Order: sequence, then structure tokens, then C-alpha cells
Amino acid sequence: MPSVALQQWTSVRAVSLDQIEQAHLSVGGAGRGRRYATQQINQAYVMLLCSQFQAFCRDLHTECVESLVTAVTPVIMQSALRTEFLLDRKLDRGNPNPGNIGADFSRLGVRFWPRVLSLESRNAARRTQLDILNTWRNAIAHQDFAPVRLSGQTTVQLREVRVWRRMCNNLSDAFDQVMYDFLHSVTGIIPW
Amino acid sequence: MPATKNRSDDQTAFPHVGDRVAFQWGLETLEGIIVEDRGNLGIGGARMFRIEAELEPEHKIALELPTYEFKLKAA
Repeated sequence: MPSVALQQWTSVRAVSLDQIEQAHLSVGGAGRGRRYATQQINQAYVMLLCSQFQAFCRDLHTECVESLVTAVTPVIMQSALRTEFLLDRKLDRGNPNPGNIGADFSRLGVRFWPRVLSLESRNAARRTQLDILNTWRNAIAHQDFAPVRLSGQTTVQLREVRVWRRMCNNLSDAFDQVMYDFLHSVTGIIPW
Repeated sequence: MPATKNRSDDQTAFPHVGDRVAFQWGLETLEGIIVEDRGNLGIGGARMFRIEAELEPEHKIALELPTYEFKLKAA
């Protein structure tokens, strides 16, 4: 069984993303007005995808901390240890970029990205795509579409957001698997 | 009336954002405030809450605890 975080990613969070994709498809017409409207929806889709993926990562991190901490004795020190693991967690306020994700999970005692990359060769390209998604997220949030940062583009297409969503799906599976293996080997307990 | 309410004694009390709580932190008992309901992310689906507390003056900590590890403080 996957983590609660992954279960929510594939259910509640997926429904929310499906709804905005449906909004894109339901915008009628073929003229310039439609293109403008769909561009706004695409930008909203990027923001929503990024925020839902951040929430997934943060939830998974919480589950991992809980799994590690409850295996520690003396029990009386568990809450102090929780605090340490959550101290200045990047995912509490930062984007879900590879750097922030790696920093937070690596603090639990795992070489996070090397393990993710060793799981499947395509994860290297997915990590690059995650970086690009976050670059677009920042461009949209600040309405600053400097072409130099966006490979010359100033608009984002639905097919690109769909690629990023598939990337998030694949990485969420990989993150769940890596942390499952790590927690199981460290604690001897099946974490989820 | 006791200073803290144990939810095992009071099934109607469910933690909410903004509630004051007391929890064990090492050898100390700290008081804090629930700032976020994190959902059923704990072991066995236990409900988790993010709590902020002042460890020392101007030194706040934030941690996430399952419901069975803190007690609601009386309002």
C-alpha cells in the first residue's frame, strides 16, 4: 500500500488537477479570445500543479518523520526529535524544486536524489523537468516572463503542462518507493 | 476544573486550529497553539497537527504531533 501522501496525490489532488484541465477544454470558440483565455487557464494549471506537488512532498515528509521518530527510544525524546527534523523545512514555504526537496528529505539520513536517480534512468530527465516547472511557476507568480529563463517562450501550452503532470506522477511514485525502502531498512518496520 | 482536558476523557473535544495545547518535549511540558490540521498522516492514519510553541522567549519551534501526544488546554 502506498503512503497516505501518495494516495492523496492520486485521488484528491488528481481530481483537483482534472478539474482545471476540464476548464481548459470547456472554453469554447476558436479565435484570439479563446487563446487568451486558455493561456490564463494554462498558467493557473501550472500554479496548481506546482502547489499540489509541493503539498504531496510535504505530506510525504511528515509521514517519513513520523515513521522515523516513533521508532526512536527513549520515547520522551521523540517530540524534540520531531522538531529537529521539521526545523526550517524548505517545503513549508519554498517551491518543490529539486534543491528544496533534496534538502528536506536528505536531512532524514538518506541520500535522496542519488537514490531516486538510481531507481530509474529516466528520473534524471524528470528532475530537470521539475526544475523547468518551478521556473515557470515563478514566472507566472511574478508575471515576469523573461525569455532568457524560459528558453525563449512567453506562453505555456497545455501539452507542456500535461508533460509536467506526468513527470510529477512518476516522481511521486519514485519518492514514495525510495522513502519506503529507506525507512524499512532503517527501522525494520513497514512504514505504510 | 483541571488545567488540561484529556480527550480520552472527553470525546467531544476535537482539536482545531487555534486551540491551545500542552505536550511533552523531552523532560519539559510545553504549551503551544495548533496552526494547521495536517490530516491523517500519522502512523496507522493518526490525525496530525502542526503546533507552534515558544521554547524560550523569542525562540519559537514548530512540530507536528499526532493527537495522542498532546492535550487540549482549557479555554
